[in-house]
Amino acid sequence: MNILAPVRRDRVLAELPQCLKKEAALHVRKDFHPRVTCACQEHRTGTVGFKISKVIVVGDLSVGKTCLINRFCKDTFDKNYKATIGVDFEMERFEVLGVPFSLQLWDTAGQERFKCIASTYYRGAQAIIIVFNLNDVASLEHTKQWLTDALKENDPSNVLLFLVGSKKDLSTPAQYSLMEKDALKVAQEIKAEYWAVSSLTGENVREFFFRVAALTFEANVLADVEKSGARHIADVVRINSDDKNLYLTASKKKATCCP
Amino acid sequence: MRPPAQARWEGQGPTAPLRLRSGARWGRGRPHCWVYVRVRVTIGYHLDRDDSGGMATTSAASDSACSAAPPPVGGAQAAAAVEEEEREVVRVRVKKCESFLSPEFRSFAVDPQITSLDVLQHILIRAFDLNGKKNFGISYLARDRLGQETFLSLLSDWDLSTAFATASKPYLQLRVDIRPSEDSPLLEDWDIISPKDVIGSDVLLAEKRSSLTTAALPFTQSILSQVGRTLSKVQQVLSWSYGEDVKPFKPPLSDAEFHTYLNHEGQLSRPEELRLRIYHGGVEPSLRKVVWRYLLNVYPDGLTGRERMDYMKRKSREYEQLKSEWAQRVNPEDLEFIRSTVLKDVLRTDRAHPYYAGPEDGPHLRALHDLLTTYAVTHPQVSYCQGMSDLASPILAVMDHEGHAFVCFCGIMKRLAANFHPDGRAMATKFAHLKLLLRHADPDFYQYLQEAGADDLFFCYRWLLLELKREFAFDDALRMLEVTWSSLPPDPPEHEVELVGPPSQVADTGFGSHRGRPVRQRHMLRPAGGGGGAFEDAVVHLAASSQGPSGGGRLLRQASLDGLQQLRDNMGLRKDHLVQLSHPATLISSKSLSEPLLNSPDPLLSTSSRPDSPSSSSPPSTQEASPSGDIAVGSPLMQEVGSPRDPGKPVPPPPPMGLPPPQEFGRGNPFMLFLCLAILLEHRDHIMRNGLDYNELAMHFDRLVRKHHLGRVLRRAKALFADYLQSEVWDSEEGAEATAPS
Repeated sequence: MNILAPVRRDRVLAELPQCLKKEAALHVRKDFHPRVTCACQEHRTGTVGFKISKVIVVGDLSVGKTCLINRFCKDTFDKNYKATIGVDFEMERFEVLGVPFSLQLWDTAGQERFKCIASTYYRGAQAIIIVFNLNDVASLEHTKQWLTDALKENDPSNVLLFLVGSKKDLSTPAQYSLMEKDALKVAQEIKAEYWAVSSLTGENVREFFFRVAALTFEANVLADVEKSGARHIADVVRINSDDKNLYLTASKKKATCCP
Repeated sequence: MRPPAQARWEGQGPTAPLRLRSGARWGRGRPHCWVYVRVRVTIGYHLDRDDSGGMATTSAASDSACSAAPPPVGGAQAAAAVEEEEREVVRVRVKKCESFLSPEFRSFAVDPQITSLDVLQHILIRAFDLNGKKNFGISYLARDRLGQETFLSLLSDWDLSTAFATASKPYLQLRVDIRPSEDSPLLEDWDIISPKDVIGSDVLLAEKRSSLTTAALPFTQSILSQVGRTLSKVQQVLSWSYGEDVKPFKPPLSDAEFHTYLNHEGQLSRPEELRLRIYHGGVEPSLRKVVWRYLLNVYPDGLTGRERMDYMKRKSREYEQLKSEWAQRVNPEDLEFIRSTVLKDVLRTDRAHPYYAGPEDGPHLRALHDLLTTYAVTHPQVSYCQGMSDLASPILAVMDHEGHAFVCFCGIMKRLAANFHPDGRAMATKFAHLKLLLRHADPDFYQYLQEAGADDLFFCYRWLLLELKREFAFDDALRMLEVTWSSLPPDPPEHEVELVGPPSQVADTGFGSHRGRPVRQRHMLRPAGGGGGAFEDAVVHLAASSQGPSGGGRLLRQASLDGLQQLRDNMGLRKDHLVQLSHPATLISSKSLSEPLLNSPDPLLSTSSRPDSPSSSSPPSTQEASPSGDIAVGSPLMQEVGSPRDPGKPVPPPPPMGLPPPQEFGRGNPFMLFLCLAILLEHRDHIMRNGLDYNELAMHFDRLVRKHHLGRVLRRAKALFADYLQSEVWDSEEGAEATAPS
């Protein structure tokens, strides 16, 4: 962990990547939050640059979770990889608005018999990516259960959710259109951002992960800025300091609790 | 018969030098000389009895230290080596304390470069003639910064290095504390390492024989690993200690040697000796096809060469018949689901290995697919689960015959099917045992993991599930597997390996008569907490019940019983299945006292896999018996499982636990736990030095898939395993207390 790989040229984000569908997006701003932009310009991003944000990838057996991660991290569609047992992980380095930032992608096992062991790796996740197969209605139906399992280990208000349909290359336009309608409905229900990708062709894979990195980074910086702001106010207004301290304490407890 | 020149400690005076088997005397005429035993690469130590306990002798020895006469060859180089040794050697003075006996003293010198804790322990065993005493602690005199003197325990190689570095001027002061321990029949019955196979002399007492046998392993392993000596050199050095037949380190088993284990009709007459031989050296690659069938318990006992050929032909035909019956045994939707799942995994199993590197429709991938599909179809209670392709792959690559590989796969799955059961109980037990072992072996590391929240050791999940097959490069994995399998007692089938498992009965564990989609939906829509929580609950309860007596221990145990009962209810086990579960504990308890335990793992697996077929060797009355707390060798874990129907009944307090005995440890594979421990300890310093957290730990070991160093891991695992077998900690209250973190 001491020696971090340098950020690749193609992992630099200067602008906020856009969502795929406005109907199911975490937010539809065209730019980073102004406070985030300001904090980065003034180099007041706290420890975000040295932080590793945890992202877990869940979903049914063989919907293509590992292929999706490998496509982005290794830019390959390599068939000679191993079936996930327990958990695998990949680390990706980014530079967002000039600040180094790392995503820790946790690839979990989709088979039923490994679900119980995989759940221990859900704790501490900042983003949850739920993958389903665009050609398998059942895998879409199961995404809510995957989300329920993952949220047992995390505070829902602090987690970014992404619903990703995979294997788009196997869909005909008509089939895809029908499935997308259903998927958008599910995404709106669970308050997730919707994406459709193909690991085989690479369609939307890079855009999707850049979006995950950007939104996770933004959430981290906003959290840090808010903490700084609270401390600043506490120093000046004595009466308010009690309330603010209480808020900080509650916030910390809430953020770290595991039910 | 003992060599006449062998040293006898009791009869020698304080200045008598160590006598080599060849009869050569070193420094005969020079009192108080330090003499070094060496052949080519030097292991320096000399034992000198010092009964008076006076400091004068030690001081005199130090003052008059001088070189032994140089060996006949390489005079100049030898002289230089002696000079270097004099600068490097650490003088050790040892005081032995044993209950009310008066203390004894010994002095000797060692080379810290090649002296591990194991080596030191066995020097001490020889020096004080401790063969009959199984438990002793070592501590060394240390001075803190204020000059205060205190004895610190020597529990690891790290401790020993610290002692050498900080407390060896002018000499290292050690204390050996002897702790009496009860003798146990367990070690005598546990036949993985048989005394008569290691020591040829029948003159030795049975007790000494066992002690010497297990003591030999870590001593010789450590020597070999550090000095890299040839086999003949090892025999030459060690023969004066243990006799002619010590052959602990060997090259892989060759075809010629293998045939010495067969009689004139080709029957295997010494299965235990064959396993011990493979445990030490593995099998030549070209011979694996034949020998692995014994290690995987494919052949019933006593088959001649011709009978074995006929047997394999018959079983292969049986397999081909089963393969043609897929459509008759499952409905089309279920078959399609099984096949597609198997195919996806086959296409990503060991594809980097030449045997599986061919095109996706190649014959070897098809064979692997057909083998796994046939198993899933004929064993609906197990079906197919990711990971099984990793277990089947090396077997098929070695056998290079689909039918033979299937029979072997059935042999290994007889033992491992429980790993893949949805209730997670087998895996939970293994995690609990690995946790116990780590805490036992390295309390500081264990505490570190606890503070990091990683003491659940879930990053070892793949290790335990696949018995480390994926953790080593493919060819290394083959060696690791055969060594591990050979550490298990032979378990041949009574008549034949059964190729068909019990039919599906519990709906949520098999495909039975359900259509594909409803089955998948049921799997994924399992009640919240039921699936995900069960495994972790089981781990927690087993860990709690493994803690032994403590404040609230009884309450914890009662809670564990309730938890186990609830867990079982949640899993939907039927009532008569509970009856079967209470059965193995009784069998194990009885056998522990009265019978060899060669087949003890079998009742558990037989009962688990055949809930409606009670063991024919078991009288009906045993089903009513409940294990008594008075059976000291019984495991609390098994006792609790044995009393599921009386949760309200007070359970007799179990005996204090060190580690579970071999027939229970690791649920049928204790050596595998020591391999896991060896890997963990190999990376211990890196982990603690860098302060890796929970996630970083998992990432660290995930990066090491297929990259572990087989030689180092095997050596360490074998040494630790030998210590475990020798220590019999599981029987001794004093032992448990002594090794507990203090």
